[in-house]
Amino acid sequence: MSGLSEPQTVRAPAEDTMFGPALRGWLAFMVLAIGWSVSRYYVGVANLEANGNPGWDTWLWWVPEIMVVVGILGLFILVVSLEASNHSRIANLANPTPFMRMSGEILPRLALVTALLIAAGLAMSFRAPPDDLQGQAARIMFIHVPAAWLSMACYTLTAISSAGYLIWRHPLADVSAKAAVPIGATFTLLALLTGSLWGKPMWGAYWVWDARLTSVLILFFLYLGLIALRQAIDDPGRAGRAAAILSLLGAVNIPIIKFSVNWWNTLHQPASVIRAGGPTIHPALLIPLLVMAFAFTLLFVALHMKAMRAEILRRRCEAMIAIHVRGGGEAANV
Amino acid sequence: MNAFLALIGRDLRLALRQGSAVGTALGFYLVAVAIIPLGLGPDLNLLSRIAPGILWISFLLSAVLSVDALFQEDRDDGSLDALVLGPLPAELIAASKSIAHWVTTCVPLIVVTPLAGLLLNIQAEALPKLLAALLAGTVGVSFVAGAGAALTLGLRKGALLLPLLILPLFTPFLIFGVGAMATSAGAFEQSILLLFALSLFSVAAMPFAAALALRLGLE
Amino acid sequence: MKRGGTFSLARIEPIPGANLALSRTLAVEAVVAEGLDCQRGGRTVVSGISFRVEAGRALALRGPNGSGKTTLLRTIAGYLQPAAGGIEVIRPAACASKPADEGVYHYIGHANGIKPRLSVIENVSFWQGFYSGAADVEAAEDALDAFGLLNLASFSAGHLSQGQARRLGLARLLAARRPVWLLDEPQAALDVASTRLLERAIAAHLASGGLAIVSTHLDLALPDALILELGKPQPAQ
Repeated sequence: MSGLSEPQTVRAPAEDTMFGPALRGWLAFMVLAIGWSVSRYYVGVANLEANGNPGWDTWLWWVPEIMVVVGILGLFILVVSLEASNHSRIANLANPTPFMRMSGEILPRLALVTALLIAAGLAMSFRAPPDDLQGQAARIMFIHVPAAWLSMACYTLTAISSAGYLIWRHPLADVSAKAAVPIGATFTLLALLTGSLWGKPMWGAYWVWDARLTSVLILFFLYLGLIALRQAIDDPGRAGRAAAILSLLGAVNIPIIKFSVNWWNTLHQPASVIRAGGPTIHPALLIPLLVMAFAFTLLFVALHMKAMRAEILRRRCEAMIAIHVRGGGEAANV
Repeated sequence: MNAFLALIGRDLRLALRQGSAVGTALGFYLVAVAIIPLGLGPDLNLLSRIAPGILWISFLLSAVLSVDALFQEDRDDGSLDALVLGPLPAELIAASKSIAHWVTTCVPLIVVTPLAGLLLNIQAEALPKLLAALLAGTVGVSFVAGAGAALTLGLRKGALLLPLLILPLFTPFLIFGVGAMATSAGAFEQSILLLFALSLFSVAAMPFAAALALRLGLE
Repeated sequence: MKRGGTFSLARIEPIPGANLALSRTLAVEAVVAEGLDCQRGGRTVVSGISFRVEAGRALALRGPNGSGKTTLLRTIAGYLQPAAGGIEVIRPAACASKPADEGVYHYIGHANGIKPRLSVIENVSFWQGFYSGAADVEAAEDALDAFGLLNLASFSAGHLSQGQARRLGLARLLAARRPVWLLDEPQAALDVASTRLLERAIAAHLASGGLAIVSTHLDLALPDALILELGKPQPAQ
């Protein structure tokens, strides 16, 4: 408007005031510490419970430590490259146009591969021999287990995207977090429904208050909270940041909730695929399961990409409508 | 530090003069406890067995419903604007609010818990354990609820949204709080220590989330 | 302890100078904005604002409703993130070690920040103690006196009229000293006599080396203030 006098030095826009370096460091530390302790629990304690020995002698024992070292290296490289490129890398990623072009090319092929893999996985699932103890009902595992895995993976992705949005104000990260939540909620619901269908013949009831079912139910409520919070706030920027804070709050709490629910009640069979002593499932069942898990993961990636594209397009439409309205509706059509 | 104490002092004084807020939480707590036997039947053995669970659930519900106004009044009358410009970082403002909530809501609720327990025929030896668990755990409850209140600050349906966001995060408190009543050896000590750990973690971590949300709420 | 009689313009003593002088550590040389774009709710409300206000001057923000005066003030105070450009508080070299904008601002918006359940003196004492870290009854009473509220000190703030409540809100400006005042329509609800009190407080603040950024209509006299006219709401680009 009007320059009243010559300004002297002027501070750069304070875009980082929400996350100073100390808070970033603290966050990185928290992520590493939580990651280490959770994986240490699964690799060490769970192994001890399952096999009676902690499994020192296998290389798998060192996976948490390797993860931490890789994480520190990755963070270091990230920080150095950010400093070197003066945020240009993030700025490029933040521009949705390359993402739209890239995803537009990838998505049809990805969808095709996903469809083929799901078909193959389903065929293998039905050709697999029936389980010795559980009979035909065990086949639902081929849907249930991948859905349960993805319900967690999807929350992890939401939390990482949220952190990216809060730290770098990277709009694509917000789009990613927003797109992931309903998909994650759907997979969680799928895991719950198939679990309860499986539970009827196995446990004699559609729902038992078993530790794992309960913690997945709570995860579902966390997803619902994220959706509700986003819907309750009109300003999309504010909604995105509030949802990001909530999803990080949930991410920090999920290991605690899981631990407490395990403590509360353990009826469910112990983890049987990922553990240091090797899988306890017969390969005839394991291979279809892994194929289905991979197919579901691809399905998730495809759905997520599609949802992100839809969200970006929706935001463009909103922006165009806003310009149109504030311009007094001169252009007759949008 | 003085500013921190001044803020807590003001909130305590306000709660004291505004007695109705504390009274409402207390009333809600007692009504919630009293209405459950109406649904379960008057069997005293059953009630005394599930009394700790009923008391904890009613407690958490009262805490979450009373926390709604924690920042809302300060935001509406412009105090929050002035508070964040003061010498305290927003993290400490959030922490002081949570402390004030604990003192003005959780402590009175703990004080009437023996009375509520009486209604449910709670066993005499379970009562001290329950009170100890409440004292250890509810500090963390106030801090988690504070973060939730900051997150729903200024939302139209905030009061309805808040329990949906916050109650899942209360799961560990509920589990270990009721777990402290278990009769097995060491269950009490273990649960109390875990409740302390939860409270410490919440005191350390929640103000950061609350501060982020507060800054958002001022926009 | 001074107790004023009934409020009248003639009885107002000059604002005590000792209380007003800004200590060295509080001093500010200037507030500078450069190319500032302010946004609210994801929408740019004002754009291209540049100004420099030296200590001892006031900046008056003028403009019709919706021209973004409040948004600009809230951006300066740090509640809102600027969409572009920046604001800098220039402090004397003597206190350059402190973060530039820490503890610099007072912001008075449309709401007064007072609690009806607390008495008038408790309200102002709280802000005094909160901002300065040490309770100082003298300072709180002087601040009330300057806005003609000392005789109401022990009454509950809930009994105050709109104008009195506004004055009580403004009293925190004097109860705890800060070099930069950001005032959003401070004369709203004030009668003529009270507006004179406000003008006097602002003049004394400027004279003691402070500066003020005030959104106002013409009814608040700010002698030799810089004036920034904000335009009408911008149509689409």
